[in-house]
Amino acid sequence: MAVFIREAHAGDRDALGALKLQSSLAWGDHAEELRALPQAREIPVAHLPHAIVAELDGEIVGFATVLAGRDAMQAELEDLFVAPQLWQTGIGRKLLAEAEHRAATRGARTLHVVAGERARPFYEASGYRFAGTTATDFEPAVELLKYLP
Amino acid sequence: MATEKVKGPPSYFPSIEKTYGKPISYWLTLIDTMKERKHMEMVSMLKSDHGMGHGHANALVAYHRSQKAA
Repeated sequence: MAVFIREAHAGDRDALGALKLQSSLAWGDHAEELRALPQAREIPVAHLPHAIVAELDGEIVGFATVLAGRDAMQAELEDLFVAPQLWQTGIGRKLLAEAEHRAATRGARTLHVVAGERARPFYEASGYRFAGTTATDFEPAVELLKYLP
Repeated sequence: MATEKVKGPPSYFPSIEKTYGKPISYWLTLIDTMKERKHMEMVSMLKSDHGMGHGHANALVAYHRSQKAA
């Protein structure tokens, strides 16, 4: 399976929004609220320059967004979504590794992510550790961090 | 010389000012105009309308709330 990672561009915005909603709905939680929430299907325009996408056979199958964090030493993984039919195939890991590489190249020493309990094992298996709790739209979530090599 | 490390929401302020090019007072005034909204609605508006990440938006709303409560 040849997955190609590239930078996002403006024309990807609708596809990324649709992917975000599809991926969020796949757990079966909060379906009505997610469908009613505009930001569940929208990527802020200002985030696009900071997003990378994964393509498989020319189709966008995942994306990740790395933004500035608390200070220059930190970066924040704002979004990481993969098409549900391709979960557990390594695309998320590949996007995460590239996101970490980009954060480190910009000078960050740690990458932080706010994750729900369902996503937590994915990050912990990739070396992320508990850093605190925070609020999200629907439920309390955990903040995880990883020290970048 | 010992310097006290800034903690909590204000520790985000230099990065917020640098990233979006506006002073913190600008964002606090903007949040004032959202006063009927819930915490997470304010965070969502800062993210969707102004391109902030979760950490920056959450820090501003949390600080704004702490100042109002004081």
